[in-house]
Amino acid sequence: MSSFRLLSFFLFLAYTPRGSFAEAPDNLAAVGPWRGQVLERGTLRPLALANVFILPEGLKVTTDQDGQFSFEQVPIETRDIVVTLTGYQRFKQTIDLSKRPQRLLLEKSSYVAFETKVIGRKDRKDASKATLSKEEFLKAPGSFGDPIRAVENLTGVVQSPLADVAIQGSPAEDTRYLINGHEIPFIFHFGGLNSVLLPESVDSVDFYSAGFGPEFGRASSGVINLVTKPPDQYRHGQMAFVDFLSSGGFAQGPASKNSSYFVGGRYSYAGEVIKAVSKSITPDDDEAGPPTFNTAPTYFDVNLQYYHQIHDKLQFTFLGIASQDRVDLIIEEPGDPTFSGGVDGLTEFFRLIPQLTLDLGKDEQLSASVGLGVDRQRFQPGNQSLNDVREQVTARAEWRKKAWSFLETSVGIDHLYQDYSLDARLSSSFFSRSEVRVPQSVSGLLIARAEASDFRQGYYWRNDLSFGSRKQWVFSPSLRADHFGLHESTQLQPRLTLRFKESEFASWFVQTGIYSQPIDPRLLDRQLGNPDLSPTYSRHYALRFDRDFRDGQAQGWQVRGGVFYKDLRDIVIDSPEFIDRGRGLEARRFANEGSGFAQGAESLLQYRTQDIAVNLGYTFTDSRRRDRGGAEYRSAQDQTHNANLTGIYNYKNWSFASRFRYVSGNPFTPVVGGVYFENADVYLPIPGGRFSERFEDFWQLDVRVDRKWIYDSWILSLYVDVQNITNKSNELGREYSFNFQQSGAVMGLPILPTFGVKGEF
Amino acid sequence: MLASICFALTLTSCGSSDFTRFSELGGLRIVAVQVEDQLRAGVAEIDGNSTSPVTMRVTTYISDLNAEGRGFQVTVTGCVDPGVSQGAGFRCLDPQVIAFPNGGTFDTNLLSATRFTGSMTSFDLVINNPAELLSGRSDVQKFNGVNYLLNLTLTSGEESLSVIKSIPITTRILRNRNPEIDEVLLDGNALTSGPTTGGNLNLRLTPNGAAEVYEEMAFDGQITSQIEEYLITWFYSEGRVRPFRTVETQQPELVLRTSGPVLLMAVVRDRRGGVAVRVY
Repeated sequence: MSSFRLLSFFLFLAYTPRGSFAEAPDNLAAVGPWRGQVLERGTLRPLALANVFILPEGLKVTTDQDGQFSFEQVPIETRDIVVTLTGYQRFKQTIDLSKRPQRLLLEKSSYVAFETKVIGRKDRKDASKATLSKEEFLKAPGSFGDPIRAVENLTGVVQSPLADVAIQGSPAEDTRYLINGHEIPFIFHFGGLNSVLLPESVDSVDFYSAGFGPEFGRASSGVINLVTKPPDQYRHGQMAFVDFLSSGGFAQGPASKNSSYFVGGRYSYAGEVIKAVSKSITPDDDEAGPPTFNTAPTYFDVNLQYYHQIHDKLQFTFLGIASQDRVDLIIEEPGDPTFSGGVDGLTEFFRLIPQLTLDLGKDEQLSASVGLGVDRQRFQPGNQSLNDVREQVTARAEWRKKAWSFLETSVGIDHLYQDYSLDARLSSSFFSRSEVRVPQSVSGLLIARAEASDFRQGYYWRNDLSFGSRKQWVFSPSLRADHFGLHESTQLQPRLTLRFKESEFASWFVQTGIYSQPIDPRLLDRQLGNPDLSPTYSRHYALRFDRDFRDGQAQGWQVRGGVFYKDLRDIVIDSPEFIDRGRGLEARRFANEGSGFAQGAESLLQYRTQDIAVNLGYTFTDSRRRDRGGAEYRSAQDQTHNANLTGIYNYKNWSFASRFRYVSGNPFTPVVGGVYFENADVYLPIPGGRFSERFEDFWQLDVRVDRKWIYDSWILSLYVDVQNITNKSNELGREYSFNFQQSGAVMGLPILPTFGVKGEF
Repeated sequence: MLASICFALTLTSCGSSDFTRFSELGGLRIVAVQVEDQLRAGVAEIDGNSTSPVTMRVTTYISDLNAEGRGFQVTVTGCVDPGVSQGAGFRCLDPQVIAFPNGGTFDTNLLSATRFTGSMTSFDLVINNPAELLSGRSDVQKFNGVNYLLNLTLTSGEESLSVIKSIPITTRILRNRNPEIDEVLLDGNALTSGPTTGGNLNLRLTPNGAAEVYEEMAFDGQITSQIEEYLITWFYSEGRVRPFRTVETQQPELVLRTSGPVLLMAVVRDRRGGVAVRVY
C-alpha cells in the first residue's frame, strides 16, 4: 500500500508545475470545461478520491463520491490523461478532450487481494461471536463459496457428515438458524453442499457459541445468523454462474435515487447427475442396484431484496427468500421393508422480512422487523407419511441507547408465533432419539393429526457498563425471558459478560448464562411424543482472550482462544415406559431424563497480509451424557481433536486456497448382534456399549483455484474446487449385514472436483 | 452427494455387496412364524376381550441347508412388549415360559427330504386372561393392539439363533387373519416344485382371496378403514431373485445361471402379524 502512496506522491511532484495547478493556462486558443467519471474496470463502481491529471499542463482534480470530476478550463484537444488511486494500476491514456463526457476505467492492482481492514480497533463486545465476511467465505477452500460450509473452518464447530451445524459438543438440534435475526427451519439444502441463501447476497455470517448474549434465545447451544448484503446503490450489475452442481445468478442496482434492489436465484441439478449415474450402473446378478429416482434430488432458492433510505435517519429494507428441496427415490431392495416403494420428500419454506431502522441520534437507534412465512415438510417413506405445515410470524425489535458515557443499554423483543398442523401416519419409532435405530417396520404405525398455535415470546435487556480509569472494564449484566406457549412455561435466563481490555488490541472475557430451548411440537404431540416434556436447559461458562498483534496494522498475527463448559439438563431421551394421563396407560415415548456436559478449549491463530491469509484453528472437546442418572457415556459430538489449517494466497488475479482438516473419529455405538423380528421381516440390532467405539480419525485436504479476467464492464471468473484431493477414504458410518453378523465402513465422499464459470456484469 | 443420500437413508440401500444376502438360504435361518387362534381358524390375533384362556398354535419355519441335519434345543418365552420400538431391551422382566414339544428339542432331519427347510413341530401358546393384559391401557391401545412378544431360541452347540414374534392382543371385533397363498407362477406356469431350468424368469404370487379391510383408531378416537398390502419375501438356494421383497402386484425376476433343482420359498406377510409360507 505504501508504494502506491509513494507513487501518487511522485506523480504529484513530477507533474505539478510551480504555483496553482487548478488554473488553465492563458495562452490556449480553445479552452473549455472537460468532465468525466472514474470507474473501476470490470465492476464500473464509481471511484472516489482518485487524482485525475491532464498533461503536460499538470492540471489536477480529485473525484467526488460518485467518481465524477470536472475541469473548468482546459485545452480542447488531445492530451495525456493520468489517473492515480491507491490500490489501482496507474491509468495513462491519450484522449481527445473534445469528446465528452469521458469515462475513465481504472484497473485494480488485484481483484482477488483481501480488502485492507484494520481489525481490533472496533470494540468486540461479545467474544462468543465469530464473523465471517463475504470475502472470507467466498474464498474459503472446501466450502464451494458457501457461507455456512465455511463456518466449518471456525473453532467450536463439530465436523459432521450431515446437513447441519453442531457447536461445541452439543447436538445440531440445539443450534438455531437465522436470517437477519429471523428463524428459518433449516440452513442447508439436501445433502449439505449448499446453504439456502445465494452466497453473493450474504454480507456476513455470525456464529455464536458458548456464552452468547441475550439478543438470541430458544437455542441451548448456539446460533448462526446470516446477514444479507444491502443491494448496490451505485450501479446496475448482474452475475451469472454455472458449475457442476448448480447454476444461478442475480441482478441488482439502484431503483431510484434512494433505493436499490437485488433479485437472485439458484437451481441445482446435482440430482440429475446422480440420477444419470445411477441409471448408467447395471448391477451384476449378484449385486443390488443403486437407488433409482422418480424425481432426482433437486433444489432451488430465490432471494429478493429492496433497500430504501427514506431519509437520512430512517432506512427500510425488505428481504424475501424461498427455498425448496425435493427428492423421490425408489429403493429396489431396502433393508427395512418400511422403505419398500421408496422415499418421497419435500421441504420448502419462504420468508418475507421487512425491516425499519431509525437513527434517533448520535447514540440511539431503534430497529424493528417482522418475518412472515410458511414452512412445509412432506415425507413419505414407503407406507408412512408426514405432512408438517407451520405458518410463522416472527418479530424482532430493539432500542439501543448510550445513556451515559459509561452505560449503553438495549432492550428488545424476539417473538415467534406459529400455527402448526400435522398429519402423520408414522412408525412409533420415527422420532426415536436412540443412536441405534430399531427398524421402523418393527413398530406399529401411529396416526396423528394435530393443529396447534404456539406463541414463543422473548424479551431481553442488555447493559454494557464501562468502568475503570481507562474504562478498561466492561461489565454486561443482561437478562432474557422466554415464554414458551406450548409448554406454558416461562424461563428467566440471566447472562453475564465481564471484559477486561488489557490494551486496545488485547482483551479478556468471562461469559456465563442460562439458555433454554423449547421442544419441537412434534415431540409434544400426544400420540407421537410426550406433551409433558419440558424445555431443555443449559448453563454456559466461558473464559476467552483475544490478542491482535497487528496493533492496528493490516498485516500480522492475531490469536484468539479460550475454554468453555456447558452444563446440559433436561435432555430429551427415549422412554419405553407407559404412563396414565387420564385415558388409560399409553406410551410415554420421551422424557427429559438426560443430562450431560460439554467442555473444551479452542484457539485460532491467524496471519494476514494483503495477499496471504492463514488460519489455524484447533478445538479440544470432551462431551458426555448420562441417562436417568445412569452411567456416563461419550456423546456423539465428542470430537476430541478438531484442527483446521486454511491458507489463501493471492497473486495478481489468481487466488490459490487450501484447507487441511483433521478430526478425531466420531464415537459410535457398535451393534454386537441381531434378533430376527418376524413380523417385520427384519433383524433388530443388539447395541453394544453406548458410544464405546470411534470411527477412524478423519482427515481431508481440499484445494481451490480462482482466476479472474477483467474486461471493461464485466469480470469473468473461473474456479476449480477439489474436495478431498488425496482421495482419502474417511469413515462416516458403519453398515451391517441384514443379521448384524458382518459389518463394514461407510465411506465419505471420494475426490470431488467441481469447476465453474461466473460472469459479473 | 450419493454418499450423503445413502447416509441419510440410514444405510438402507447402500449395503456392501460383500455381505451375505438376506434372501439367500444356506446357514441356519428362521424364516417365518405363524400363529393361529385354535378357536377361530386363520385368526392371527389374541382376543383381548376374553377373560378365559386363549390358545394360539405357533408354527415356525426354518432353513438349515448347510448343516445337512442336526438337533436343536428349543426354548420359548413370552411377555407383553416392554417398549422395544422405544428403545427398551428385548428381555422380559417376568417371562412366561412356554413348553416346546419333545422336551424342547427339534431335529432338522425331520424336515422335508434333504432340504432341511420347512416347518418345525407346532406348539401352543396359552394366554390365560388376555383382557387382564389390557387392563389400564388406553382405548386406542386396546383397539389397535398391545403386542405380546414371543421369543423362540434355537441352540446347537455354540450356535444360537433367536426370533421374536409379536402377536397383537386387541379388542376389535374384526380380527386379522393369516393370508393364504393360492399359487406361485414361474413365467406364467404354476410351480409345483423348485425351478430346474436356468435363465431370467418372472415370478408372481397369487394370494387366495382379496386383501383384508381393517380398522385403525386414531388418537382422537376416530376409526378409519385401511386395506392390507401384502409384502412378499422370496428366499432361494441358488441364483438370485431381484428384488427379493415385493408387493403383490410386482413380478420379481428369478435369475438362474445354472440348471438344477433350486429351493424357492415365498413368505407373504400382511404387515399386521399375519403370515403364509410356501416352499418349493
